[in-house]
Amino acid sequence: MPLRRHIEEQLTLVGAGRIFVVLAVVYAVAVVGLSVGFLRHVETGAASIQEQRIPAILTQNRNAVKVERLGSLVRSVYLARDARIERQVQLQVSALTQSFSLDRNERLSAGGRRIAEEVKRIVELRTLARSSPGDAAEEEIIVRRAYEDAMKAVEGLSQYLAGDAALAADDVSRDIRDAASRIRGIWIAILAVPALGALLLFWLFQRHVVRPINGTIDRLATIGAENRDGPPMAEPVLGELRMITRAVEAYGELSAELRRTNEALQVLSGQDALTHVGNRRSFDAALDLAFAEGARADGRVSLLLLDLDNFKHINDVHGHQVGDVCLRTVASAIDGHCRGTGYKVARYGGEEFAVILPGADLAAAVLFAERLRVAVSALPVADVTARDGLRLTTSVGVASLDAATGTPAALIAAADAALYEAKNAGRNIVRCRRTEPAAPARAKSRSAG
Amino acid sequence: MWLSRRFGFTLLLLAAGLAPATAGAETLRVATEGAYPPFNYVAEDGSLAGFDVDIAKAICAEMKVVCSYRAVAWDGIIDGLVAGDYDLVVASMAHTPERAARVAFSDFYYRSHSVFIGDASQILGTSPENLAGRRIGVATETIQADYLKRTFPGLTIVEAPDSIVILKMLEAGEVDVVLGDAIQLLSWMEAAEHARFEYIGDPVGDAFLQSSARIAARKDAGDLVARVNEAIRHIRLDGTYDRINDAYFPFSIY
Repeated sequence: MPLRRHIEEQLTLVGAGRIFVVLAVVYAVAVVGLSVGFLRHVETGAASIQEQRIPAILTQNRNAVKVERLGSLVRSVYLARDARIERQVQLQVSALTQSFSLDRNERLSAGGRRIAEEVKRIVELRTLARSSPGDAAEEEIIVRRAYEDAMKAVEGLSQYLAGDAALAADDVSRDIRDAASRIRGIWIAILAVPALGALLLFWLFQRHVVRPINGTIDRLATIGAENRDGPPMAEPVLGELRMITRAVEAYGELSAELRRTNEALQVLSGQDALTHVGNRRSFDAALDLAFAEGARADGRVSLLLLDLDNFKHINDVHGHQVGDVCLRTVASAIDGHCRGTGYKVARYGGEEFAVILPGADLAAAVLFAERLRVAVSALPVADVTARDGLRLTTSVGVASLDAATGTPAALIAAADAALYEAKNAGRNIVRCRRTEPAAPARAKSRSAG
Repeated sequence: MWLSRRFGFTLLLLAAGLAPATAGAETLRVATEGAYPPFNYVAEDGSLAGFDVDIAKAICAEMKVVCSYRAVAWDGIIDGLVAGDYDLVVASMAHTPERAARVAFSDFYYRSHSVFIGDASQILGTSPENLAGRRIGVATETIQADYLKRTFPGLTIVEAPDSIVILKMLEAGEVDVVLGDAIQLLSWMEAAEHARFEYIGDPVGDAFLQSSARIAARKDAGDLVARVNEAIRHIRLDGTYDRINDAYFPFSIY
């Protein structure tokens, strides 16, 4: 078990590749060695067939022809009844049967000797009959017997040689057939191993490479999704893929974590999700800060409250999406005007925006408010304004307090009151409220109509 | 005009260069004894004939070479080959270690055994006792001569320069028996005038005399012997050998 675990821990794609190469090389070397050895064996067999066994068969064949010839010589000597022919044939039979001794074949030599003796006997009997004629019929019977014995010996040799040659030829052909079938078997084995190996390799590749990669890709695709509670992936065996899978899992975890953190941060941050200007929370903080800093610098804090006119109507008639577009456009415009001024804009309520102007007196605040009012009224809000005659306007309430003596709440209340006045005055207008009863001498603000 | 003349000249040069390769087919000089019927002998018209000569012609044809033939006395036939007077000896020459030390031998082209012949009524056997007091004839420088000198040192051995001479001596009663090649003696004995002569005893069992006739070439003749072997193999397989064999002998002598 520990070994198996060790292997599983250590096995990598590169390692598997190396193992494969080593196996392939070992196999190739083994096949070459086996083939060379076996083919050499076959070659030796073929050489022995060519150099020994076929000559042996040919020798048998040649001797079979000689025996056949011997048979016809025996017939000739029996039928000749002519001294000269009998002598010639006898000489030929002698020479022929003697030549069997060249092949060192005892059976053949013995048979040959016997035939030569019978032929000699026939010739002697015929010669005797010619020199001293006796009972012709009886002589003929004796000669006939010698002839039959000789022919029997010829027949015996002939069968022996034919059978021997046939057996030898059969041996050779069986050996050749055996060698051929062994060659076929070995080649089938040699070819089958790579074929099966390829199948196995394909299966391993499918199971341990393709499947993990596909799984990882699927897993990657779910990373963006909200719900990625799929079953956890099986760990791939191969090291590299395991690393990738783990990285993907870790990345998915991280991604989900990030999204959760992001949501939390959004809340924590001071940004309004819709308009991307400050939210109410950041507004409160900024106003507190403005008062704190203004008090130290003996300065003022001014505040504008802007309320889009008839916004409920826009929502009702054109829908909330158009309403959202209007809010974003207005917020962006106000923010644009505040850039570089140190003024801070925030979304104060549904369609209400607030601008904190640290250090600005009432006059400057009114002036800035007027600029914003004009700017808003000139805003092209998508193409809705042109088509439906929709026109955005805003009413603005302005207030200003001495930071040292005033409070954020008092400032907001004053600005709110001014906004209320502006709404009552017919909208699309700036109204301000002076709220400094304690120090009238220092009052510099004036109504901006 | 100039160009074509030049071209013609080039062709001429080329032809001159190719000429030896095409026109000059290889020629070989073949020597035989001419006194060993029916293997080799001088025919009535003066030309060389016999089994050896026909085999030599078949082999030359098989090798696609042009051969010339000449008769050379047996006792100098190897010297002449070594000296380069001719290229091949096709003369029923048996393989012996002494000869193989001087020349290169081909595969055998026929095999034979040796046997004594003589007047069967006079000579009863081939044992030393039977042969004691007899004059034994043999052709000089042959394996049979070597055998006799080794095996019967006490007997009277008469050597003649070739087989024709020794057989004439046998006919004339100058020798009593002759030891020779069974096939060669067969042809001689088949003649009616030699009817009183018979094979005496069994063929000589000595392995030394169960010999094989081979073609000899110089040792430095390159692949000539290999080509001769290939030619022998071919004429054996295509029936040429058998046709020649049947023209001379009643059975195969291969």
